Amino acid sequence: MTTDRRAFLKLAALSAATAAASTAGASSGIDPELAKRMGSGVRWDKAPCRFCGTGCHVQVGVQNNKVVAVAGDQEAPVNRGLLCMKGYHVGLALYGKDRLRTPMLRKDGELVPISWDEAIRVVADRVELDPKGFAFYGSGQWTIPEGYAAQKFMKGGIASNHIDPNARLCMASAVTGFIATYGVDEPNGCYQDLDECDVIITWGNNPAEMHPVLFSRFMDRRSRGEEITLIDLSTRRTRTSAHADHYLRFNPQSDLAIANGILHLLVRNGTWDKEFVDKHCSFRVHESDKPTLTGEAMSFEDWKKALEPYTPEYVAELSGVSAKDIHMLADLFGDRDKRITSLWCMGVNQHTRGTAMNCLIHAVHLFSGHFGRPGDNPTSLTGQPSACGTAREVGTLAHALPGGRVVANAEHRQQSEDFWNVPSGRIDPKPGKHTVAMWKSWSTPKGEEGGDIHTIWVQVTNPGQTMPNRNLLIEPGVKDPDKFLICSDVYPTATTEIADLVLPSAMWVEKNGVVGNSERRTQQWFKMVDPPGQARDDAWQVIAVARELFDRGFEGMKDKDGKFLFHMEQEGREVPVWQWSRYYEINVDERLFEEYRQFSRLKHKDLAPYAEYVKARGLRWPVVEQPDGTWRETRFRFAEFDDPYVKPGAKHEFYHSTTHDGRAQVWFHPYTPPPEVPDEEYPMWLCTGRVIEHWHSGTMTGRVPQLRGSMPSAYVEVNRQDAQALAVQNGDLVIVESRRGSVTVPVWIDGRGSPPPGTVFVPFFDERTKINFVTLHEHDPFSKQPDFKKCAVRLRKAEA
Amino acid sequence: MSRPTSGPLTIFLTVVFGVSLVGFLRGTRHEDYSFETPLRDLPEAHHGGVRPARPYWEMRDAPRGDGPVLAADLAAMIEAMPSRTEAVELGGTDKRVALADRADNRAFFGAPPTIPHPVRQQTQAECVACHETGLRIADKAAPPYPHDGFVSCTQCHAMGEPALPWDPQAQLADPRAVDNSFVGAQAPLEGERWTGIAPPKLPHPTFMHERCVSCHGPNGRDAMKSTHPDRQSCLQCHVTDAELEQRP
Repeated sequence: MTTDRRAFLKLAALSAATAAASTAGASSGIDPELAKRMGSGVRWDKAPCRFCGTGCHVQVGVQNNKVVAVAGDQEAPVNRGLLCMKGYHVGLALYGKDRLRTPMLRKDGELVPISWDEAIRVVADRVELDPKGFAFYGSGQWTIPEGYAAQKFMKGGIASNHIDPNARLCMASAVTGFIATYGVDEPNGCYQDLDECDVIITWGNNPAEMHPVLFSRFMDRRSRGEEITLIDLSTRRTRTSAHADHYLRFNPQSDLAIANGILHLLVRNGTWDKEFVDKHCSFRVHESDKPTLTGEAMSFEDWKKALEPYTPEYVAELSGVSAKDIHMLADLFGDRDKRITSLWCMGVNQHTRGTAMNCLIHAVHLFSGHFGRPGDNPTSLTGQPSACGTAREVGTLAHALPGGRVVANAEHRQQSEDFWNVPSGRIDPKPGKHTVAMWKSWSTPKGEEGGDIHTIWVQVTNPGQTMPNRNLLIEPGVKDPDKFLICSDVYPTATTEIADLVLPSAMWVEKNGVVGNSERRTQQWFKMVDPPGQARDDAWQVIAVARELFDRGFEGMKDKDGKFLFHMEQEGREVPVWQWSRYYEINVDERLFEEYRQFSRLKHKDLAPYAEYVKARGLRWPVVEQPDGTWRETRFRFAEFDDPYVKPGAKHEFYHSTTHDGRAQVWFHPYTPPPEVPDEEYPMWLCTGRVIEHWHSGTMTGRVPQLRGSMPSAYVEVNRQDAQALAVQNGDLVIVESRRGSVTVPVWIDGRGSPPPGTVFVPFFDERTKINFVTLHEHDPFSKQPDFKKCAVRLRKAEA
Repeated sequence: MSRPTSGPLTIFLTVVFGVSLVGFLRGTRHEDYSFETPLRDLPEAHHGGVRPARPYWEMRDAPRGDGPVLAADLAAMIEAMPSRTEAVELGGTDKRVALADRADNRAFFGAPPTIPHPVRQQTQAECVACHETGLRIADKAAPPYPHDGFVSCTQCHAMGEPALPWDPQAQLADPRAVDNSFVGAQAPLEGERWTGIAPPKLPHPTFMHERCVSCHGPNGRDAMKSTHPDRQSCLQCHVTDAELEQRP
């Protein structure tokens, strides 16, 4: 691409300059055409970045209905003007030439263009075929109004609970960890922790590449002369390790042992925070039969006893981290003068013991009293722009209802039915199928046990590339003529490739949006440019299908008064928002958000009116109205100094405690080996993940020349010793195979990261090498989140 | 470790590190660029202009020998910085060419430039070796970075060419479309002046461009240099644009 593109740009700039120079007045010396591009001709407006869960705000420069520039938003508290390479180039993600522009239906194996009217009818037909077998698969890239519309359409409309997001593959264990510990989801702290901590511990996390702006937010403090210690706990050396004071490499799965080792030493040394634990904590363990997320009480004595085996020596043996370093970690946590922030993301969440590991990080912080002060908190990071805002808060999960409610709870169902004004009993009390079960059902023939899901509608994600063990979960459904796949997306993907109906979507600033980032910050933006061709908003697509069903007399699309489920009016008259030409007559996003906002109070995640978010660069919930009518956000939850819901005088209060006494749960979770470990046949560990250039499955970043040019292809990172044993060099193609499938990729010895001997790493962004044919679908029993970070593989040289 | 297996591997790896060592020599990007230094009479070049470092077993035989790497003495090649008190003449160069050249490795005016030379993948500290104060070798300049206080350079700066130790196209043909129709904002020819002799207003934000010397200093592109490098307080005369500065 480079030479042609450069030559073109140079020519374009030169010819524009020449043309302008010939017309510009010699007196001013200004090139009016070019000056206009950065001056008054460009209109700037705020939007959160499209990519990760950090939630940076960008300023988007628009001219002639096109994005022409992007700048970091200096007013934004998250990023203070700084972005990463993806953020600076986010505007280019809209303009890949192969954007989907028209709905397409598969006829005789080929996708052929059809009209939107026909496309909407096809979806409605699939719903009517058997509403209970219709499923929706979304993501943490749904905006809050989009996710809310899909949620209401499914649970309040067609009464099917089979709606789940890809966040199940991403954040589910963080959710169960928070709920098991505090009784309510999402972090107590916020990014201010990064400004005030003395020590950062990254638990299987590489923020230098995955959350670069947050990484800089604490690392840059060093260049201002501040002393901070970075401890990188990791299974391979990464760019984050390059900045670390201590790089502690551990064996896959042994993070559980390390956390227990720290707790063991805090007990043994008597350095735990007695006052904090006495006042604010209880001890918890799983029931021996039928374990649940709430578990059962455990005495402090029993809890201590359970930790006894986790001596530094035993932990060193399991983890490969030296006993001295385990002592070092325990001594840090034993020191109350230091402020310690833990960061983690996929390494802990994509784990068959993900819930346990999340609980253990919380336990280490709670037990040592490193909790509740700015800079002194366990801070879980998310990977998607609205994993928190939509998947977790709107609750687009098979078991959930908006605002932290669950379908199994009659009171919660009633509240939701009241907000939606639908008849009592509309919502099915039985949880739907979670992600892995949903796709397994879709890949099971009709009539066979568990094969009831006949159609999945996918929005804002790419399961064809990101589901684990594709041969088991996806391929059979693709081949089965009874199964139907609908995919709304912006580019051709590994999912549109296998879809029966493809719907072109608007993306990012081509539509209005509201999202919620990793620190509970809800962020709003307005549409700035038109989508290409016939691409349309995802929320419109849902509303249009709902209306088609309503017009056909489908009961579920009517509320109690017989009105349309998405009835919206202006000045007393109904606005037909299901007609695309009328969709932007009112702000549908605002209507959906205001309706959704009513759900947010139950779990004290209060949201402010839409108009407040228009003014702000995001606000962190709970956002509470003050006597003077202003709205105040909350930085630190459960801490009296900042959280208005903590009882005065309590100092700390966990007001959603599962034990109803204001206490958080300090869990005991033993170390257990992973479900698949390397053996003679498959002797190596495989870890998968991201690189800084690409985001998710690379469908957007892969269209950005600067990002694609920087990292054009997947690879397998191999340790030098292993490469020698295999007699392969850099660039040699090898086959990475597991018991489930295989891919062929070039070898990179000590590449972007350095794995230890016996471990390889493959990034998942490259759709040509779908590494998820190789990964494991085994999942955490509570969160149902699969483990993409460890399975057993073997490598062999591909024949030339 | 037997030589037949490790030999090609070691050579390849040393090439990689050799490439990053001399990467700065490629400096700002030019069409049809090939590596030649006028300063030393070096043996013939290999691998597209980049000389491989010697394998270790050759070093054993001639530890201080006259190998090509020792001949490329970096310190001797760096040119002295021009004095700030010398007059600067801008005549003879076309600013439009300079701006187009500058736009080469930027997606739009204001985007962080992609890195026009290979870099190592896992560390950051090396960037400052050349870009802290900036330096010039023959006609290649490494500009001093325009912003202070950041430690993670590759957070914003992607690589202009993939720094993979193999040819990605050759190994895994890439049929996917990468065509992108984005047209970025271009740099204005100059800042606005309210009279012909007034100092121009800054046509770009100062945020992330705090060190004017990065582009306008003595090692900058000819047509973009300051004619008066002896003056140190740029914003005394050149006003900023409230909108570009994101001032409310």
